[in-house]
Amino acid sequence: MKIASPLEQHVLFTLGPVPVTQPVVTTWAIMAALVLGCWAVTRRLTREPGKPQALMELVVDTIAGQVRETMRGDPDRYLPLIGTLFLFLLVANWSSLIPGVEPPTATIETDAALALIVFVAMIWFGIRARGARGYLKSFTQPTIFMAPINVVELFTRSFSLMVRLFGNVMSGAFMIGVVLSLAGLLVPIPLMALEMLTGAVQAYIFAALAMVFIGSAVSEANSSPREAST
Amino acid sequence: MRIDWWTLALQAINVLILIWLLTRFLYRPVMRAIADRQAAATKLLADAAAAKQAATETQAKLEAQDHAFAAEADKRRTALHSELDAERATMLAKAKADGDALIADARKTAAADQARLEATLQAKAGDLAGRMTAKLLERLPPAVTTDALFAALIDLIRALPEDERKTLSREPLTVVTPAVLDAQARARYTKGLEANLPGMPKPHFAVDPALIAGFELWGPHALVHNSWRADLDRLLAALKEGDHAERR
Repeated sequence: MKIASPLEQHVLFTLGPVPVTQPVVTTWAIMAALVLGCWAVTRRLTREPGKPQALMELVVDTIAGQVRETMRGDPDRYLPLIGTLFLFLLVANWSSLIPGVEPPTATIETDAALALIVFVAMIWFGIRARGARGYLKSFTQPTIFMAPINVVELFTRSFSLMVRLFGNVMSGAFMIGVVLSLAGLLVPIPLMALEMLTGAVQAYIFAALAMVFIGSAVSEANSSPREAST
Repeated sequence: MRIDWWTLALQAINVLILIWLLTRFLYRPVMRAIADRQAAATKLLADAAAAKQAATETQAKLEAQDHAFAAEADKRRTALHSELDAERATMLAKAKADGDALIADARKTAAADQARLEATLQAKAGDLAGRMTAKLLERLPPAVTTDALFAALIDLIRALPEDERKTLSREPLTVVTPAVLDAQARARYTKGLEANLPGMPKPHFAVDPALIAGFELWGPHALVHNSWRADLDRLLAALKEGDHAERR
């Protein structure tokens, strides 16, 4: 059995000049599932919630609490970005459990897109919080000699996000594919369970690091937000 | 390694669209629901706190009212006790006065009864003494006692002051004896009287067994007692006077 390279994308169809690959279609499916699920639950919110509403409120409130604790500020501004990153990554990572579905996060393009969004968000929120001058001045902290290093750090942070996520998810999916091709149906199940844990942890790490990076960009002084361990 | 930039761009757009969609269908409604519930809970707590405050104030008011009632009750109880004490003292005083009056009436009644009893007893004693004396006199000849007592009557008349003796001699007298006198005895005694009361009218003779023995002279304005009945009465009167003196 031939195993496809995780770095090669299979184009399913094209929209004019735009080739639509498998990860994009999977992402659309995930988006549809998330949006429909949220719409189904939130279209009739009540003051006395049922189990789906309570679960939804628990998830959103937990993410908001994490944002509040990590970024030391109003979570409403950052909740859509951080929450969406976490939920999308969680569902995308766990989508590998569905037979025949390759998680979109196992492709470098998806992870690069997510890291690019975090990169832009760091700059965007940093400028909004400090102003363009203040944000640029933050690169000279603690001394102006640190400016090159801080600029490089800005890129390497996003790059590390991308590589970390891609490496973990791609390796898990690749390993399951290899084991599946060698040992049949039941043997990969423990690895799939481990992949669930790895997917959840990677989603949390990505969202937590995004919070830390954005938080450090918007923080006024040297009181950088709490670093999340990886 | 080759990066598909179209895929990268599409995925970035997809994630941005997903952020917008989830903001619309997840975060805003859920956060609004949470905020509404928190507001409702806050309002509920505020209402509960207000109700608790109102209840506390009502409790304090009721306690103050209760204390006022208790104080008023104590005041009224004290006043009632005072009234009762005064009324009891009045009733006791009145009862004591009534009791004293009853005791005084009882004593007075008892004294009157005793006096009446004593009088009755004395009368009975006098009557008994008279009857005993009469019984004793039956053993003596009537002439002996009659003559002796007539002599005593004469002594008594002689002992009277001159004025009284003259007055007595001008009045029509009745000679009262305990037994009927015969004509000879009447004449002898009339003669004896006329000798000591000169000029007196002729006396009448009457009988009164109650005299026991002796003579009495009854006139319109004067009486001369010289009978045993009169002596017994004097003795009883003297005894009674002596008893009263001892009792006093």
